[in-house]
Amino acid sequence: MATRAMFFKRADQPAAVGGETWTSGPDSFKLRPLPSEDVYFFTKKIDNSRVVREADPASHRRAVQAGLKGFAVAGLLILLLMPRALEMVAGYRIHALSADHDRLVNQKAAIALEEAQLESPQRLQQLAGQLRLVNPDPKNVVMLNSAKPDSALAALNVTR
Amino acid sequence: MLGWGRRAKDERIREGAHPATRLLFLAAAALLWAIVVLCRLVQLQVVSHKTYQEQADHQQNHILRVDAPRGSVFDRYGHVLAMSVPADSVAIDPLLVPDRPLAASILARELGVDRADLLARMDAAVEEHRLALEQKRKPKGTGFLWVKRKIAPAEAEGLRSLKLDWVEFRKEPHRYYPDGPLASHVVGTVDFQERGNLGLEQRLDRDLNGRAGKVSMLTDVLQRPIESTVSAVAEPGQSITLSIDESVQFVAERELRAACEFYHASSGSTVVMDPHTGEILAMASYPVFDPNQPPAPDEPHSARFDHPVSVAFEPGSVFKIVTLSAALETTNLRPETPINCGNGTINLFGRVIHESHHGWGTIPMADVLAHSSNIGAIQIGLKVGEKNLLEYVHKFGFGKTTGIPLPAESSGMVRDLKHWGKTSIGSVAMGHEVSATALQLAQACSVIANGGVLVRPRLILRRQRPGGKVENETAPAPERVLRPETAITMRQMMEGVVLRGTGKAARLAGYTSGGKTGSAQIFDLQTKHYTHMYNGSFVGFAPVTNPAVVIAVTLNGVKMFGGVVAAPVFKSVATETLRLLAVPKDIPEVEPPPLADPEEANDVSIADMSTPPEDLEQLPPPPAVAPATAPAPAPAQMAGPSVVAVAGPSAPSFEGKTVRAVIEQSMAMGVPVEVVGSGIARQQAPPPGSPLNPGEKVKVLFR
Repeated sequence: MATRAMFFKRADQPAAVGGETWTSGPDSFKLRPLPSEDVYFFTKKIDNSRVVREADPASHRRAVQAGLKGFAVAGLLILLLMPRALEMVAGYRIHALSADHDRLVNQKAAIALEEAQLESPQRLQQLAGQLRLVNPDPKNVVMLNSAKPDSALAALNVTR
Repeated sequence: MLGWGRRAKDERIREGAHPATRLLFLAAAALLWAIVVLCRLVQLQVVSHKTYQEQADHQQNHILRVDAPRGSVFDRYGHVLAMSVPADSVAIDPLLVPDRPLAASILARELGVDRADLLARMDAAVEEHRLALEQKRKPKGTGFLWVKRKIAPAEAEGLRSLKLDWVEFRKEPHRYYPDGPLASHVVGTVDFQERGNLGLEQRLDRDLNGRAGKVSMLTDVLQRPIESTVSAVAEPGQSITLSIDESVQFVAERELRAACEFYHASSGSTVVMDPHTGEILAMASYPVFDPNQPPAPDEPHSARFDHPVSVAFEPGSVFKIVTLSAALETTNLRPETPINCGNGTINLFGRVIHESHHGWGTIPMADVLAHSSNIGAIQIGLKVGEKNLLEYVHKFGFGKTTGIPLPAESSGMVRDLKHWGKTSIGSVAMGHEVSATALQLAQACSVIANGGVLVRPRLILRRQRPGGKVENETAPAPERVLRPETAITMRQMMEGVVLRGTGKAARLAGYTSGGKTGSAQIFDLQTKHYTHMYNGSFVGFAPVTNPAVVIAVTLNGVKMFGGVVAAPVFKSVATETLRLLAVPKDIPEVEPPPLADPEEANDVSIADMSTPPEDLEQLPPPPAVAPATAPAPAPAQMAGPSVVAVAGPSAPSFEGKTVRAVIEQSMAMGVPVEVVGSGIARQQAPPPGSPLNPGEKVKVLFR
């Protein structure tokens, strides 16, 4: 490890010439040098303020054109692929709706069937019996209108 | 160190490694890569194209069959009589079932299937798969096993709740008949494949069934459909609206069943028809069956016969309406014309024929019909003549089918003149040597009821596909059979049958009615003789002035007359039907007197024209009285048919009974009670035996 004493000592001596090391002298306090200890870094300030890029309109135009072409190709690709993608999305949606429709149709049929079973005359008759309902007294039934034709002969004329 | 890179570069340049060369190497490598890719593409797309195409099609493309839902059947007011609803069917892959005995137990418990049988089938499938693997052959049907098809919604719900991933549910259409046995003979049934095999379901199978379609479907990896192409459009079946009125049908079946059970008839028929349009409002047949259930082993052979349409019988005296109509049309006979009934004896071409019941002297022609005199009918038939009589038999629609869209319709039998014997004129005049169905009898009676035209029976009012246009069925043109005045005269004479003849039990309260009774002996094909069993019939209409309904009732294999067994059915059905149709009453509301003596209804026609039948067996007493206006008890509780109710209800005796017993008895009898207190019935008002007004309650005091 380089010590402070060694650092200052090394700076006081002139640089070695022809591969001769400056540690040739007897110095019991010196340590073995580190690898690449002779590499020094320093900061060099470069002033590029006076460097100006040469104006190249053709290159600029090519760059812009290339960019535009890239966008155009990308847009075209998107335009080409978008319908297919939308079609797939719509397909999923349509089939989901179709399945919903079928389910609702089946549900409606099941409800209609249940309603028909509940309105079955035999069931109503049993319920009426349980509730002790009776048919109305015939004397209380007054027919105000007849849905039937006035006469058999009239019906005959109509059919003819 | 930085300097080393530059030095190496300079050395390579010096050795001749020009940048263009390196580019060439890169291009060559890229070309090689492209060639490899191209070769692979050729291998995939050209060489193995078929294989991969098949794999892709198998995975992504599916051709599905789109079932065309079977059309529904409605009554004239839109009530469902038959309807198809998708039901769940359960299947399993036995190879995927983790624990077969446990699975069999679960399925047997949930679905009510035989556990041992199911387990055996699963084991057999697994064994077959194992053997197939050993023998390196394709296994036969081991990956799919039906457990139970078309299960009830509750069963499906219970099984689904178990979330068994090895159970597969598949939807299959199932035919339901929500009214059970109601109109089952008309609507019919379907088999397991939803193909009609009875009734309208069979006759209109093509229209009801529709046409299945096909869809090719593209799916993704998860088998979700992406797009589909319809290759064949599914055509749903037509829905059929019948002329049947559910309520009238119910009444007709209820009354017919009660009468058949009470009189031990082997079979029976009732047809209710609108005489003006020919629309069939009800068509009942006995015995009945439940179309929701498969035929039971002990089911009577004739249970699924549509008797009103398919079974022809000798009509007997009801046929006299044809004879007398022909007489009014072709001769100078009038209702008041005296007919010599020979005191019950006639010598017909050398054969002495005796009346089968009371013999009459000389009576007006109207009374011949009213009392159903056979000798009188023979005399009238002789006056009409064979040719004219046969002509009118045909004109009334006998001997040919009516055209009703039901399978196995019988045309009946009317023989040509060349096959008539010497005495056939007498037999046909009385309704023998001919056969007819109940539907034909109703059709013939409609001729008289509607003013003299033959109107074909109609059963279908309209058809419609889902979302399609309504197609109304057109009625065939009516054919003139009788002059209007003849029809009116016949109506008056048939009213006489009800008022003073053999059809007194058909008198209605509040309506005029007319009709004709008939009791034809049944011919035994084995002994070649007429038996003492009868086809008891009644055909009639109401009201007389402008008939709204025609009703034909027949009970086969009874030991009583048509005026006793069939006329009360007419009365009950006509009363309810006229009320349901809101037909105005045309006479005061007076309950007609009961039939005092069943012998008054004796109208047995002479069967073999030579050996008059012996006296009928001792007639049983009239059945228990039940109020016509009270609700009919449940079929299992019926003590006797309400159709033969001839008097008002009376208060039963409840004394000494518990509350429960009283309520059960009152429900069974249709007599409402008012319960006061608890314990044992001590008093009641009105007292036992007192006549009750319809709807009047019996107050019972319990202590």
